[in-house]
Amino acid sequence: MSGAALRLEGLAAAYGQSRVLDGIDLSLPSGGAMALVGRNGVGKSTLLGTIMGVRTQVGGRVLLDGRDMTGLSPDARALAGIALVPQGRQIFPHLSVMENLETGLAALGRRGRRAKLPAMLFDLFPKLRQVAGRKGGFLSGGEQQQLAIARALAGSPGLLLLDEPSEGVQPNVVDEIERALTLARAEMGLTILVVEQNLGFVWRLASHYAAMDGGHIVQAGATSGTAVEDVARLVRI
Amino acid sequence: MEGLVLPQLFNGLSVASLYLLAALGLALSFGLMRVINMAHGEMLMLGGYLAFLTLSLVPGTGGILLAVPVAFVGAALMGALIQLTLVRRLLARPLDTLIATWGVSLILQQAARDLFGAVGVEVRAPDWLAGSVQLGSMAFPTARLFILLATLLVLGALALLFRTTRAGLHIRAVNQDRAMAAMLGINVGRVELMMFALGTGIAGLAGVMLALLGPVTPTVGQSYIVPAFLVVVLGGVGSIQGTTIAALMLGLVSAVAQIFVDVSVAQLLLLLFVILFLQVRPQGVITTSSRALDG
Repeated sequence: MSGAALRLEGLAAAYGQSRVLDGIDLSLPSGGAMALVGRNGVGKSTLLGTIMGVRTQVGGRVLLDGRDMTGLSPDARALAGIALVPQGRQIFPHLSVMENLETGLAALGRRGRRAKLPAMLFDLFPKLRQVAGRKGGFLSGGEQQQLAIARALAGSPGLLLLDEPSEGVQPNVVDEIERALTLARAEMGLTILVVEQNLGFVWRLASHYAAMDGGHIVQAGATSGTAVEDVARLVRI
Repeated sequence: MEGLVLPQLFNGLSVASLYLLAALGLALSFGLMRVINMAHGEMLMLGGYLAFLTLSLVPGTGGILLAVPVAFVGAALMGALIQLTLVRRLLARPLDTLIATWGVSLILQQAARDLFGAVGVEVRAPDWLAGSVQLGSMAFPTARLFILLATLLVLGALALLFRTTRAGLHIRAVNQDRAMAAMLGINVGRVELMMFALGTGIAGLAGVMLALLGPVTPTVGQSYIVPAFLVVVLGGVGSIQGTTIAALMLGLVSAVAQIFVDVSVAQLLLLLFVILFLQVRPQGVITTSSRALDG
């Protein structure tokens, strides 16, 4: 799959009675990469979860290439081309690295039943080849993060949602992740929406940014020409 | 005494096979969905009656070979029906599932009473299953050898399913992290339905095996359901290897105990063994982090 365009229209989400996202409008063209920045608790992860269908959407629409995702289950959204690498990675601890990667093929639907893993995954993350037989639970934080991203890419998504990919990962591995994501974006035409506190890393990766506060988007624009420090000051991180 | 030990060990193995077949379905459904299916014993009963009906229509070796798939499919379909109509709707309310499936258990028992009578029915097994295989001075009942073989085949088939197929991979993924599996595009609802039906289908197979050893009654499943739960708890919930080892342990403890004491005291010793074992190893034989253990 090539990249898919994402459009959010008046998106609202809630935990029980408490509304955590309200009136989110956002547009990300196919092949674009957007950084979603803001302090803890402003609704960034909830926004990713709502796009994936794992958080309760109470208003608005999620459109992927113009197709309304509202009401679709997470597995149906995965089949439509959305992949989420959650915070904490959620690697299957008792499955080997290869098996973890193969679960990602489920997003291909019927085609995925007999599909082989794309060789490109190991070009993007050479480290995974070395630990292919190891159980997911025995990997280091950095290896798990690479595995989580590769697993999401195995299903050839059009839109990749990343929740704090640099969290708890040593700097040299963050560089590897940055290189792999840049390559994946170039080769697959992937659209990326990434939540990140490490602004230096995400500024190099993303072409656009959206700053969040209190469940709203307070500022958005292109990363080039916008000083990281100004955005950091705005969202107080 | 020495002449007793080997035959009792063999008996222990065959009892272990029955416990295992009865417990596998429970282990699968509890491990995957946190559902305790109180009607599981009735899947054994259903398998037993389906074996009785099949062998009444088709006597002989063909009948018993036909009874195995008939009982498996029949019990699996019943399981699928229970999963779709009750379990799926009560997933977030485990206690309610307990009561609802207990209700199903009572309904199925009464239905069996109405259809076949309260007295048990005897399956007409082919002659070769009523005999025994002589090995030196010892005789091994063919029916028990058949049960042992069938159990090994079921375990082998499950191992193949889990280890070599994409469906098996999806089952293991759902078992470890349901939410992540769904986000990767795995249809969790379908996986759970398949697992529940597979578990009840295996219980149906256990019913065929029970029918080879004694009469099938409306409450035949009840006498196996308690040991089956013990096996699941002892094995470490949700683990197939643990369940297998636990079934072996319980079958052998029960059989060896019966060399020295009568059946009732042997049952008491069995319970004591489980209690003591869990004092030392509360997580059971094998620790696994399945969804059932996360909460």
